[in-house]
Order: sequence, then structure tokens, then C-alpha cells
Amino acid sequence: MRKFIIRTFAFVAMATAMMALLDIAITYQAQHSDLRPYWKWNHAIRSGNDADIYIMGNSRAWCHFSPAILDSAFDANTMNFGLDGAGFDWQLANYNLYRNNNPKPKLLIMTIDYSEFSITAGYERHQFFHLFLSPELRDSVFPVHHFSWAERYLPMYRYANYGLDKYFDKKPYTLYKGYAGQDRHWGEFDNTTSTNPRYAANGQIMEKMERHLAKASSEGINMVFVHAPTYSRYYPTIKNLDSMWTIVHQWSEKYDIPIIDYTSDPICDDTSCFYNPRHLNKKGAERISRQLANDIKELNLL
Amino acid sequence: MIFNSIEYAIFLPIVFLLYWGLKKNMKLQNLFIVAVSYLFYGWWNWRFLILIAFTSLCSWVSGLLIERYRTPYGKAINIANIVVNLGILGLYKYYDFFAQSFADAFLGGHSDKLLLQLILPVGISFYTFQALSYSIDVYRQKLKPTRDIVQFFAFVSFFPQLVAGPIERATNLLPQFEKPRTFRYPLAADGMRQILWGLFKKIVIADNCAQYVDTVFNNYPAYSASTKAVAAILFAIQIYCDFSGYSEIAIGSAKLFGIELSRNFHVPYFSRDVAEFWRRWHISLTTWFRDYVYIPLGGSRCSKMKVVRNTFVIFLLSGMWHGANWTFLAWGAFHAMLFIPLILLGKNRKHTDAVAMGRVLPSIKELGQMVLTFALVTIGWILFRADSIEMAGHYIAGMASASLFRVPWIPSKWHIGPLIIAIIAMALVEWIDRSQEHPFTLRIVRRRWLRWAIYLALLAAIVLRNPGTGNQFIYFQF
Repeated sequence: MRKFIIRTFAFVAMATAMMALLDIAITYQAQHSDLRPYWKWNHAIRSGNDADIYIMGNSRAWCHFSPAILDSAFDANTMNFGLDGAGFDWQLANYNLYRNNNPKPKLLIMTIDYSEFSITAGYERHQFFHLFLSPELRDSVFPVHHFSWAERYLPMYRYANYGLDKYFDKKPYTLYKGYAGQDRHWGEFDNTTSTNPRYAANGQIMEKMERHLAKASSEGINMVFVHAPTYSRYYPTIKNLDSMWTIVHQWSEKYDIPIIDYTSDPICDDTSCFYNPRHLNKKGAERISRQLANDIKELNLL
Repeated sequence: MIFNSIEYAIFLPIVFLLYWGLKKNMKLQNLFIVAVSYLFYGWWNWRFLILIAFTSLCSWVSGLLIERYRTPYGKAINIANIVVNLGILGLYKYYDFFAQSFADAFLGGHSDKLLLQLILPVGISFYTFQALSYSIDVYRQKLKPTRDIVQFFAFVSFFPQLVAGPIERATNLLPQFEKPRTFRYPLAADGMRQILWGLFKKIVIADNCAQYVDTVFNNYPAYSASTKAVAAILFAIQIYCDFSGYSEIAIGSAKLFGIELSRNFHVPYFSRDVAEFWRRWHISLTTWFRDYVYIPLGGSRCSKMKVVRNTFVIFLLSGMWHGANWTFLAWGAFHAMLFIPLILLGKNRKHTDAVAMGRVLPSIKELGQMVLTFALVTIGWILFRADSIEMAGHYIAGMASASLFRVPWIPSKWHIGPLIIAIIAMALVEWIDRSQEHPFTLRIVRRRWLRWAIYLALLAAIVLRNPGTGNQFIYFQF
């Protein structure tokens, strides 16, 4: 029995050392990856980004607003930190990491969405895994999303349990300053299957938003709320719009933040600009990015 | 709790240390095994513990009553126990299927009021058959009934083999609970090896095959004949690695507790005909049907018509055992049709030893026989995997087209390349050890450092090639 336990222990020790080395190698690979979604976190933890315009939001930010178009319109440096599938909790964690390492932007574009203030489910959780080697980074992510102890402390467990293909497969988009235009076309829209759940706004996340707005406002950062285009037949199926926009309008007045609403823009009737009811394709994104640049100029935000 | 989970990785060493800490106290060891086995099973759904306890109690009491009232009530008690246990199994597993079929045939499909929609308890087919074999063996006087209820409960619920076998016979497992276990280093080390090999087969091969297989089977009309053929072959490999992987982990885990379970797979894809395949595939179920159904029906020592009938009966029952779907019945019937010519020609026991014994490679003839057997078995697996017989028909018909010679769909080199390497490595290892007690003895690797390097390589493969899908074992649903 003694011999068995000693040998098993020795094997486990060797296996753990091997796993730790593999963990470091995979983490290094992910830390230097430009694939979505690692790009967003990798750039948030790097200094030297020096964005003049910081775009914040979920997928309706990251695939809708082209930094190249905004850069040429303002001769500025725009970075799109829109996170696919993310609520405000993840977006704020990303922004805070960015601000820890970078100066304040001149303009903060915040796309507001109807799922914004609910707790983000476990969507693409692997985007955080390569941050775990640094306790400081790990802890900055923890409050917004929970990970098991095995994911936190067992080397390689989090990668293995989620599948390593995601780190090496080149299929996910390579981003340009956080943006990738979607070269996709409109599919059939089935009204009956597109009814939305009622996203419950979480009080703690709303409070975080309020604190975030107050802090950015006190730092003198210009802000703008943007409601991205939504396919017109889909829009009425969204359930909690009124209650959410009532609060957003209150914030707008309190912190003097203009609102740009594209939900009644003619683009919302044009299916050639969408690839699904909630997302513009590349053609639509470029059109709305030019429109956004004009609207920002009119509002004299930059 | 499934074997390929972090929970089991924590559970197993803790249970191992506590178990051997009981210092050869047989009664305490057995009681501990029952407690941890119920914890293991209750991890899924504690409510089903009542069911397994009831099944165990029925068979244990039946054994005692058969012994005491053998004349004139032994047969009646045995039948009553069979009816109760199969009744529970039938209710949970088959009732809705037959109710739906009845409604489809006579009520225009309106089955709302007929269906019970019960959740199928994990492993019910396995432990029911195990418990039944005990009372039948007591009735047949092959076994003395045990008076120790804890021993019996440990026999039925022993956690490594509880949910997906091997379906143990009381004649093999029960005596092991009747004497104190002592720790044996070679047995435990062998168990660890088998666990590692089982995890490799399950995670590296079966789960990665599943990704390709599921994609193709879920949308088969969209794929070429060659892709369908590749998916069918990969499913044959998936189901083997999934189920035999489970069995390796189960047998390996049991060895850590000084318990030796029966072998469940013996390199079935190296079989030279279908009869040999069935001596090597899911051995514990095949022999169960042989001993408790086929032989009582007359086996092969009766008229040819009866032999055909008996063969059909066990294959149809075997299909039905797997699940309540016509596809499983069709799968059983397909194998019966492959088996019957062999048994009628008296060639069903032609190949009883391992292929190419004493040689490194098989002859061309043996290779051809193995390829043909594998191809036939793979066609059977299409029936098994399909959602309906209609789908299986379309799938098989779809493979017979000119697109069979097109390059099959390859999702990504990162996925398919390592998978092919792993399958070849697995086949080589199992070929080398094809005549051994299990397929990963590493008997030809004398140096310890090299063996350890192989273990670490397997572990690295398990971690790096885990697709992260958290797939359950296929046979849990049965």
C-alpha cells in the first residue's frame, strides 16, 4: 500500500508539473492571440492603446461600428471593445482593466441594449481563462463571473474542460481594432420563433452603471448612448424596452449624455444590411458607422 | 457522477483511502461500499435510490425464500421476482414506447392521456439484470443464497459497475464480498493503467468522434456519401471506445478495491466473423442472454427451426434491452440475420482464439475477414445510431452513390489529424495486447521510465484533446 501511494503521489506530482507547463504555454498563446474574443482582454491589459474613442457594448457594438471609419472621420484612434454576448458587468470589467493600463479616452460610446443589465450567462467563458495566471487579473474578473475552484487552481483544467480547439482553430474572426465586419447575408426571419425573453435588470449591475457614469463624468470623459439598429419587424417583440429606456433617459439627463437612437432609421427596414434581426452585416455596419460619425460631429462630442 | 468528471477524480482517491483504512474488516468494508455506492448513484438523482434498494431487497428476499421453500414454491417465487423486476424496468423504459406505438396504430397518434413520461433511472437495465441473475442462479442451485443483506446490496450497487456494467454474475462478484480483501499492489497498479486507458479511449477518441458523427447524422442529407461512410465508421469507433472505455475505468476502479470484475470487451473489431464479434462485444450482456434466455429455450441443441427462432429471440431482446425504439429492434434483427447462417452451417465457433496468435501480423485472409466483419457491424451501427428506421434507410441508401469517391468533409485539420493518430495508436496498442487480460497491459514495455512516459503522454493527450463537450457515456441511457 505504501509503495502504491508513494508511486501514485510521484506520478501525480509529475503530471501536475507537466500540466503547469502546458498551462503556461497555452496561456502565452492566448495572451498573444488576435482572435476574438481574446483580443478584447489582451488589449485591455496592455498599455499603449491610447484610444481617443472607446466603444463599449455587446455584439451589437463589436460588429456594428467600424473603427477605421471613425478614425478617418475624426483623425483619431478608435478601439472597439464590444464583447459578444456580454452584459454590462463584463463590459465594465473590460473597461476597468483598460483604464488601469491606459489613459482616459476622449469619447466613450456606450451601446445600450435590452439585455444589458441582466447577469451575463456563461457565454464563451474561455475568453477569461488566459487571465488566470495573474491573481490580480483573475480577481478583477471574478466579481462579474463565477468560476469553479478547479477552473481557478488546477492547471489545465479550465482549458481541457472547455476544449482547446477554441485556442488554435483559426475560424474565429481576426479583428481590426476590435471590429470585424460580418460578410454574411440575411436569412429567413421567422417571427414566431423570435419572441424575446424578458431580461430582468439586476439591481447591482444598474448601480455599477450609475457609478461608472458618475466616475467617467467626473473625469471629464464625453459619453454618448447609442441604440443600434434592429430589424423593424423584430423590434416590437422586445419586451422590456420601455422600462429600460426610462432609466437610460434619466441617466442621460442627470449626466448630460446624448442619446443616438437608430431604431427608427430607414436601415431597419433594409434586410440587405442585416444578417439576422439583431445584427448588421458588413454593408450595414459600414453604413451605420458613417452615420454615427456624422451624428457625433453634429453633437460636437469630439 | 460520471467517470470523466472532476467529482469522480476527487471521489475515487478519498473512497480508496477510507476503504483501506478499514483494515481488512470485511463487514465494515462492505457497509462502506454500499454507502459510497449509494452516494455515487444518488449524485444523479437521490430519488432513484429507492428503486435500486427495492430491486436489491426483492432479489435478496427471493433468494432466501427460494432456498427455504424450494419445494413447492421455488419456481413461483423466482417468477414473481422476475415479474416484479422486469415490471419496474418495463414501466420506466418501455411503457411510453408501447403506449405511443399503440396510440399511433389505433388512436391516430393521440397519446397524451396514455403517456407517463417517466425519467429513465440511470443504469436500470444493468442493475436489474444483475439482481435477476442472482435469484435465477439460486433457483437453479448454482449458488447458495447469502444471508448477509449488506453483502448483497454491495453486490448489486458496487459503484464502478453500477450504471453501465459489466453486468456481474453473483457467482463471480458475490464471493468476493464474502471474504476480507487485502491490498495487492500489482492489481491496483493494473487498475490505474486500465483507468487511464479507459479515459483515453473515452475522451480522446469517443468524444472527438462524436463531434463529427453528430454533425453528420443530424444533417445527413447535406453530406456526400463518402462523408456518411466516414461518419458511420467513426460512430463504430466512437461506440466501442465509449463503452469499452467505460468498462476499462469500471474494471480498473474495482481493482483498486481488491475486486476483480468480468471482462466486458475483448478487442471485438479484430473479429473474423459476426459470431466471434458477439463473443467479444459486451460480453457480460451476451453471456447473460445466452445463459438465461438462449439455453433455456433449447439453445442450438434442437431443431434448426428452433435454433433460428432462439437466435432471433436473443438478438431481438438484446436490441430491445438497449432502448425503446424500433431502430434497436432492427439492429438486433440485422445481427440475427448475420448470425443465423453461421450457426446453421456450424461455423459459429470457428474462431475462438485471438486472431493471428503467435504472429505479429494477420494473414491477408484474416485481414479480409476482419474488414468484412467490421463493415457489416458498421452497417448495423447505422441502424443503432439513427433516430428512426426511415432515417437509417435513407442514410444507407445515401452511401450508395457516386459521391462515395469524393473527398469527405473535413471540419478542421486540428480536429481530424490528432483523432486519426489517436485511433491508429489505440488500434496498435490493442492489437499488441489482443490476447492479454486487458488491452493495455504494456507487457512489452519493460523499462519503468518508459511506461511512465507513456502514462504521461496519455494524460497529456486526454487534457489536450478533450473537446470540452462533457459527453456522457452512451450506455448510460440504457
